[in-house]
Amino acid sequence: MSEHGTPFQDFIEQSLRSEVAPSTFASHPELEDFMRLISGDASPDAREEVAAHMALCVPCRKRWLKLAEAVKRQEQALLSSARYPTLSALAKENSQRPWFSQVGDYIAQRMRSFVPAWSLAGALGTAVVAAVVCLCVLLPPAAREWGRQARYTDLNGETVTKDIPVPDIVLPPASWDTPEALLKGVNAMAQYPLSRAIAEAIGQLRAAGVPLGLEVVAFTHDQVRLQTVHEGDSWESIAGMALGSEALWPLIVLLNAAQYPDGQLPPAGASIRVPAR
Amino acid sequence: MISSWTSWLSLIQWEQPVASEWTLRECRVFFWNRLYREAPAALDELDRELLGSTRDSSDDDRLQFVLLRAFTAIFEEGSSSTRRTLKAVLLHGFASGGAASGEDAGLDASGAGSGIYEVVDRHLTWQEAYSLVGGNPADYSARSRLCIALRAECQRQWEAVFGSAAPRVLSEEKAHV
Repeated sequence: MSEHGTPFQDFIEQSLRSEVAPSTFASHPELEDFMRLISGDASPDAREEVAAHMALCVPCRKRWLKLAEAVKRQEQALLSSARYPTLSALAKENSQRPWFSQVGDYIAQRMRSFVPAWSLAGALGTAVVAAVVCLCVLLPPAAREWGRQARYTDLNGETVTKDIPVPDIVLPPASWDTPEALLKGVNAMAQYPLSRAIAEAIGQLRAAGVPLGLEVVAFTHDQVRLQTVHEGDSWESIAGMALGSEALWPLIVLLNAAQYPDGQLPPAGASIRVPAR
Repeated sequence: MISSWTSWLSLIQWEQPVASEWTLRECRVFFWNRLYREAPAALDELDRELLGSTRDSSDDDRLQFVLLRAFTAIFEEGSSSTRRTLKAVLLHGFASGGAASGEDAGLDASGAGSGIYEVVDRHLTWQEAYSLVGGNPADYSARSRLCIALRAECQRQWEAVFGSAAPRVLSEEKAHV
């Protein structure tokens, strides 16, 4: 008999207790049913069915307890920003990674998948060869003036004539006196961080209409001088002073790619190479 | 799933005149859980889902069905304080069920919006149960008044549903043996 209870009260308590006496079931709700219960996506009838089952089934109650505690721990961990960065911070961090690192991760991910390594390597190699062939085919005629004089029109509309001696960029290639050798050398430098600056600079100059071969080999150590970076300088302002056009700033970046491969202008007081007029 | 229960129950009426005790109890717990969460089924829905099989079942099943029906009727017609006391009675009764070891207790005993599975095996006292639903634990008169109303309702329901005199447990102030 319950505390302070009449016989009928005891009858009610005993009846309710017997209604939820543990039972043995042949089938149980699936994990998806529990997850829908947690997420609130379960229909009212589905919710009641799972709840009624758990009222009678001890193993499912235990499963529910463990699942709910695990979800609660995950929610607390996600709310703890000191341990886990936010998605925006992760995205920012990922965008600041060098492009070759991201490419490497992508390649590694593909290799861990069902794509065989040899097929991926073959596809990449074919793409590189195709790019080289396309660039060689698309070289403007002026670029074939290698080793002699090259004449091109800069963004100001002026015709510029330049001697093109042996180039002096980044690594000392044996000979970059042909467009093919140039592209081969650039591609060979893909393993180095500075190639990103070169690739971007080439893209900028090609968009400006500068012939492909010249943007890399236009300047040598005999034709450059050192200039001190002042406060407030930028690649554009330096290109404007040295070349007469701010749009040719990638040339300055390329000229200094060996010393500053990340393409960032060094702080005030540092020396950079600029073309000598 | 309840529709499959309905079709199964109707099938039982034709082919198996005596329904399985397990199935009836599961179905009743389904409706007890809805009542506990303050979303009770209508009386005609209870009759539609349970009455057919209950008629051919044991006396215990009929008593449980009438008790469920009485609780539902009082909940639908009662005031907010009556509903609160009724929920406390359910909470106290279901919490004393389970494996009786306390190991299989549910998540919490807040009672608000949760299911029976969260209070089973919690073994709450009446004061604890009544406090959880917002009542004054020192007030025993509410429970007594509710039980008097429940007993009367059970008698009325039994006579209305089964057309016979209510069992002794519902009509006498003696414990059911």
